[in-house]
Amino acid sequence: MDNLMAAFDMFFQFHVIAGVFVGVFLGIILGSIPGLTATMAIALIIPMTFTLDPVVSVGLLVGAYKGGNYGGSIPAILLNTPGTPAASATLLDGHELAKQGKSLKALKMAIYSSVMGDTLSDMVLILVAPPLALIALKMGPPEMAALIFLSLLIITTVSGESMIKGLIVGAIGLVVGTIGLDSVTAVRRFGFGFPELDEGISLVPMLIGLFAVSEFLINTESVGMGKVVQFFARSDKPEDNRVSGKEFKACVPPILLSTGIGTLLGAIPGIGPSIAAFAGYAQAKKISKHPEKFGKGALEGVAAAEAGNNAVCGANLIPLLTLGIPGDIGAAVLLGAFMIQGLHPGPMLFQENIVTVYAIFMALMLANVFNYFIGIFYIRFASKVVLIPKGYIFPAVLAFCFFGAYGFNQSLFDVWIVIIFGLIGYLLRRNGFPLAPLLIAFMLEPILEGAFRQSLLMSGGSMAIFFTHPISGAFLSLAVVGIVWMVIGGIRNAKSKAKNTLV
Amino acid sequence: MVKFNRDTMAGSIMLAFSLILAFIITPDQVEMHRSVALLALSPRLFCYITAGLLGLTSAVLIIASLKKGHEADAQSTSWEPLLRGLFCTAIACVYAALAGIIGFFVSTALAMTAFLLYFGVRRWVGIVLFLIVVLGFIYVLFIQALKVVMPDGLLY
Repeated sequence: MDNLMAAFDMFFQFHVIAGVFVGVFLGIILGSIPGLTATMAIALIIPMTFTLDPVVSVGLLVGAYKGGNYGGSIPAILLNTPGTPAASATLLDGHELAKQGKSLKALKMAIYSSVMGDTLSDMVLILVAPPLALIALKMGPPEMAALIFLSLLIITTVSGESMIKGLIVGAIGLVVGTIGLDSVTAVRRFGFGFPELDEGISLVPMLIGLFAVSEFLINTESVGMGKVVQFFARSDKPEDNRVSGKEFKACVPPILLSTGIGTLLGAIPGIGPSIAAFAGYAQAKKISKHPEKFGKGALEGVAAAEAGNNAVCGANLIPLLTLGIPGDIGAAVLLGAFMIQGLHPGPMLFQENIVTVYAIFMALMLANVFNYFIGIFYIRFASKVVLIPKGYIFPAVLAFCFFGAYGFNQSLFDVWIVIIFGLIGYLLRRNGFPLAPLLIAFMLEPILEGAFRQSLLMSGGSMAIFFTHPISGAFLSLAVVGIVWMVIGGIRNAKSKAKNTLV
Repeated sequence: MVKFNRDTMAGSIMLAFSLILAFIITPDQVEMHRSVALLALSPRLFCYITAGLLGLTSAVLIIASLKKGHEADAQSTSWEPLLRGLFCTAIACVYAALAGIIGFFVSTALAMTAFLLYFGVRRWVGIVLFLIVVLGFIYVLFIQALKVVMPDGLLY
């Protein structure tokens, strides 16, 4: 109770609440501009948090994360262009409603379901995280190494369309993570004569390069080949611009179902909001009394998709806060932000910084409230913002990227890191390689390597330690089963494709 | 139009990189102390493991893409989009290089003008107003609020 009261004192201060408000506001605006994803929004906001108090900066970033996730639904509904990948399911019915002049109805349903999904998911996080952290404290180096290996395996294989490409990118992330001074022997690794690399590749410049600059470069390809965007005017009828009590009641079951699916999937590292949104949408269609309406402007479709993708936000923080394992790009960015502020997510966070943890929970709940009020206000003139030409947005984004990267360490070397990783991210994306596994593997590499080498020291160099410890053995067995299952699945798919070709 | 199997090429590049990393870069860049007797203490251990993982997964990608055979060979692509992206990367490199020579703000103004023109913005009034607003915001945020010290340059 003392810790809770201390957290109230820490949190309920003007600058903290203002931080959450500004974060949500920026997140919604940046997420609603096609081409600027929620992750990019966080990457651009991180440099602004360097000199801020930890709770303020975490509130700002969490607000931006949630606002960005909701903001992506706005262009999905208005322009048939998702502002974030997670909003791809929303446009299936959202844009159809916009074509019927009911864009405001769809936007309102999106905000209602987003906030509900997010709030319920945050409550699960608040209830589950502390006991899970206690369990995590009992894990030693072999268990930690095995868990991270299993998490990386899941993350790399479900991110993107190709499992192999995800594994390759994960391996690249681990390679990049080895750059810098070795934590055990202090030997320089891959310094290439640059003392700036002694502490490894800086996270913020790498993040900005991988996600923001690569997006910029992808967009430079389509100059002069712009997609014609059709914008549909709103209907004048009041019933087309609001969600009635009956319509809302009909959407509650799909919202709750989708929230449950999103929360469950969000707690598993690697399952991002996109998968949760589509899974929630698919299940909502199955339980609907009118499944034939899905894809043609069903309000339940919008509700299910948005509840699913926003429910991931809170649940994603479960493995992050309790184990230090980020579940998706957004959580990985938040992990980096926590570390910059001197907070180390993992089981010890609940022992050493429990007051800060409670303050973070309060920030999450308050962000949902702000998401609702700012969203309801913003959707009335969102149509102006989403139509800002790319030609103005992207040069400004690049300038912010370079200044933000420079400002981190006040070093031009970091600006070159941004360009190098921007190019790497661009080339990887062009060839169908996902980027999330690279970032997550990079962030987990120090923990994985540390736990792995500690385990070998404990066992005198024997790998058997990973199998003789029961929990570690269980995680590795799951990993082996998973690999075998994926290989068999891949072989079966290939055989069935070959059979269909012959027929 | 150039036809090639992208996945095979990507896998080959990654495989070659992993071999170079394991046999050339790691021995050259990671010193091995004679006093390190235990494998766990070796600073090269994880470097070799990760290089091995990269090599193995790249080999699997090559095999998988070769098995796809004609379906993958049918992929064809134009070089033009890639050249556009690389051209913009080159402009970004010039921007970064100039930042330390003529000053960050001046190089930013030049780079943004170049990119605005590249993205098809032709109204000079719009360009000038845009530069004033964006550079002004950056100045207020980074210089005044965050107290970032910009690199020395001939101008600003």
